[in-house]
Amino acid sequence: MNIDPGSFNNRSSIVYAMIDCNNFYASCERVFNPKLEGKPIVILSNNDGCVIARSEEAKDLGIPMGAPEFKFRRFFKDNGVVVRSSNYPLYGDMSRRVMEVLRNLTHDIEVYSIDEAFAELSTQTYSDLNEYGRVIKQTIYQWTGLPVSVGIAPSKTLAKIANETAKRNLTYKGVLNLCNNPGTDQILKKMPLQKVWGIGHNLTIRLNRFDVNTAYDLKQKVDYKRWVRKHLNVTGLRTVLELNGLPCMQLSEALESRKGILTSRMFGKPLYDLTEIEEAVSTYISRAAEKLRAQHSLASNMQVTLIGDKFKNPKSKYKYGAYTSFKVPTAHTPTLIHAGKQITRSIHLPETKYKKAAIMLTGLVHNSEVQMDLFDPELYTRQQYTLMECIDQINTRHGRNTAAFAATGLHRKNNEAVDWKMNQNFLSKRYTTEWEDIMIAQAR
Amino acid sequence: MKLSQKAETGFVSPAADHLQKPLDLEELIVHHPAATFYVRAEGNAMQASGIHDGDILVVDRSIHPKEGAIVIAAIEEEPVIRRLVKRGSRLFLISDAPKFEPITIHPDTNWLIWGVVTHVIHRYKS
Repeated sequence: MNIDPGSFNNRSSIVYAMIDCNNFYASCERVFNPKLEGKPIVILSNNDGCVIARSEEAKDLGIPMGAPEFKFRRFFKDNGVVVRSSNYPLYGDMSRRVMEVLRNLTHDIEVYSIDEAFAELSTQTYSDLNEYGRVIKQTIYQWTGLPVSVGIAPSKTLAKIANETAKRNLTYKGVLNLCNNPGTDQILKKMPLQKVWGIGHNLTIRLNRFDVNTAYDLKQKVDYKRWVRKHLNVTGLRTVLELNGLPCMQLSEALESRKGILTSRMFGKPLYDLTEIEEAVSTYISRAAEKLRAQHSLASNMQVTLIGDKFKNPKSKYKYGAYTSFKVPTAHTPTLIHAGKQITRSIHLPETKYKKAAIMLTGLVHNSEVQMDLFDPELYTRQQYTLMECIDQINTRHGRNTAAFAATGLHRKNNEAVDWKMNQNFLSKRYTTEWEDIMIAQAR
Repeated sequence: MKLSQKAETGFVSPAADHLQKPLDLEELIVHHPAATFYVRAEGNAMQASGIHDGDILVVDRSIHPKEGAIVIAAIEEEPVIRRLVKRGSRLFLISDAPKFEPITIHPDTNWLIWGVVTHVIHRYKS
């Protein structure tokens, strides 16, 4: 391993920023409802099961992530906590807006999650990076109403640490630049190892044994080449270099590729009936297949798991799963649903109450890695591919489930409430995606 | 990859070389898509400015509000539609209807400008 800082400097006019929306879901709710300003807000999971996001005020009240709604109902009421079901159409649209603003302001961006992005900043745009960071923060706030934190650094790993620090320590006012910042080591000394991007739980425990406890400790290991080679893999090595301000990861270079797609949800109420369970499973499969196609992948295997009521019958087995492999990787929803129904029938027990189903697609390969055969009916054909592409386009343009598969229980949609569909009792409006739901302002 | 391709037969349209995109209303009224939101007006206090009860307002958050602009403002956390005016060094939010007192912006007023109204979409009742 040779470390020559000079060799990294050919892109020296580019630095990295991590932009992260503060308490994104809660902030989205606030934009269209100024009355929520300063109030504790919690967002519930699909099906209103538990808390998945909190405003700062809700964190201060000590409400933990994952808090079950039914257990905290009283506490929420007593403390004036505003409760919301998750409103993904709203969050998705607001996320799109943030990314668009960011795209206009920077050299290039990588959308990292619904509320975070890495960006390349060119020092030619603004010679003062602190000023650049403030412009990003201020513009996103003005255009979308969403508060963000900005961390700027010579590498992505440091940019993430800068962001984390800027968010936590209010004196930075949401913007921290670690390029040529003499305080960098002080900040790294305060950053526990498990918070460093790419350092997992197991690695943290292993490194703690060598008295490597903070980001700073790990950074120092760059001088101990043999030690690094012995105890860290390539990813770990890159992390050490990145902590030293030597960029090893460019935009869109994820730490590890996605290995599988999991769709798992609670039913709206417990189900016994095989037909209803099959409909639910088919729906989850078509959602998972959409995700699969969105990342241009095909799946080789599928696992379906039905989850019963653990608490009712603590001694009985409550999880029933089975697995199937496809002859050739596929992203064809009918093929997946067909297989999923067979699995469901094989594991479903009569007189058993099920609460949840999970679909896992694994063995993912990229479209381009698979040869499509036009004539073998067993294979994922070009015709199937084109049909799927067409359905996805219709649903993107005209809204989810405009074109859906009959197996998902479509035929009952209009006349009868479908029992396994989600509970969403605290849903705010779809302010940006439905005309009937737009914000109202008073002229009186 | 397309399996079926329509074949052109007969005479070629004389307009084929002059095809242009049809006019797009959104292009005319939305200049900053990421910052543009639609808001429904309730009440007739801004009628003289062309805003009627039930109209849809096109609101651009990216524009800096100039004196005289019609804005969506959150006053005491309530979204309202008013005209921003400056008299001397003081800011006011006024309506077109005399029965609504101008709102004076004091240094301690709890307010913010949510966005600037750029267009009104009004539907005539027929």
